[in-house]
Amino acid sequence: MRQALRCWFAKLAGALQQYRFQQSHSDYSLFTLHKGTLQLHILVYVDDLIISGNNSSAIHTFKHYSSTCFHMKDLGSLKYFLGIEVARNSTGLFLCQRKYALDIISEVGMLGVKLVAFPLDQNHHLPLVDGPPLSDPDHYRRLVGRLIYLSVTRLKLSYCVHMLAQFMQHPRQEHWEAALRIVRYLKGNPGQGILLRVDCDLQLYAWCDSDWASCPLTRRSITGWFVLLGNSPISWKTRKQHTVSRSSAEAEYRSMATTTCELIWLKTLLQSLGVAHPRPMKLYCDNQAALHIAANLVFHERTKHIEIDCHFIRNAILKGNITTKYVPTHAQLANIFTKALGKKQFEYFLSKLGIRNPYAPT
Amino acid sequence: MILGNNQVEGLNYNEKFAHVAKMIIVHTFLAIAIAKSWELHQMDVHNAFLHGDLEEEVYMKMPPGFRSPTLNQVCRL
Repeated sequence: MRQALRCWFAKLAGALQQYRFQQSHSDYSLFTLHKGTLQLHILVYVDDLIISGNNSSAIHTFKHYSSTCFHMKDLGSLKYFLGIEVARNSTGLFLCQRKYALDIISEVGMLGVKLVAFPLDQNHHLPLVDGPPLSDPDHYRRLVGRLIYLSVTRLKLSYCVHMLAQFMQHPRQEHWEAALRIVRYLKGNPGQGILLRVDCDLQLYAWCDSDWASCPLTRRSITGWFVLLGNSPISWKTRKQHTVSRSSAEAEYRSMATTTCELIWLKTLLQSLGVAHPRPMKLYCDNQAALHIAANLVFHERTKHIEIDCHFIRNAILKGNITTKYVPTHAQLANIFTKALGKKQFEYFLSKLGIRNPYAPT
Repeated sequence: MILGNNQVEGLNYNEKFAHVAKMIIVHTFLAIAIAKSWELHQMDVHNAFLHGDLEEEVYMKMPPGFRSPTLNQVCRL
């Protein structure tokens, strides 16, 4: 029955609250317990729990408590969670979806094909193609759906799946071929993933970028952002903006506003996980005009209509929540989330974004 | 899930609802744990959906192959 999982969550939340856990307001699936120096955190994914804390015996006491409440299985230290493989060593925690990627490759029968170096052709015209519609669109929807989940540890896929997911309703032959090209790209390095590093200063650094009027059908722009916690990648996104922007600075400015929202939410999330962030969060942007609009309390003729975003970012700067910094385009890490890049640029960003491939032949 | 497809919103159930952590939180949670060198453990619940308590009366048709003495009986969950 549909209400079964709701009932289950209510029961679990009740049991945790009885143990004096607090449900986080940043996300209701996060429970925290701070008592004196003790810190315990629990993350719930329907019926899977990840437990972490600064006291080993407290973790074991809690595990015992939860086993008395429910019929639970202790899976020991975290190794495999929601299809994500987790490996820990002295440099950090490595997350990848190697098995999931291999499943996708074998499902579309691509185990024996030639590899490609980057997932999406730089000069693609996917929104404008007029090839024959696919006779079995469900096949396409399923593949793109799986690629979306794969972008949990494959941040380079973010832009590609953003493109492909726009054609779920009426996919055409060219879209299917583009999706297959991504699978061929995956085949070259199915074990690639992200590294969450031990040496981390627990401060937030964000890059935001936009591609002005890039959608040929609606002329709307794309926002891309990328957030590092210390050296560990934690949040990234490609998203089409809601309104048409009249200039590239305006598009950039809207992407700054969206990224600021994400940063403010991440800051409260860090707080509920017991991490203070007293310094302003750094926001890097490669558009000087947008940075000027954010810094100067002047209303320009050209920014009249983006008043709300203006106030929002300026307030965040004035309150000391964020500081904006200029970054030259070649070092703009969010670039990869707003456009299809060639092989050379792609490889440059790999190392910068905290992407690792332990399975690569050296 | 028993014939969940036959339920109609607003008519016979409150809300379909499963608590799912966002992937950004998973990343943040793990990044903090590793930065602080904390232990990470995992637990899993058997048949989570059997644990909750129902707030309303729900009846179920007899499963196929299950014979009841009289034809018009149903199961109460």
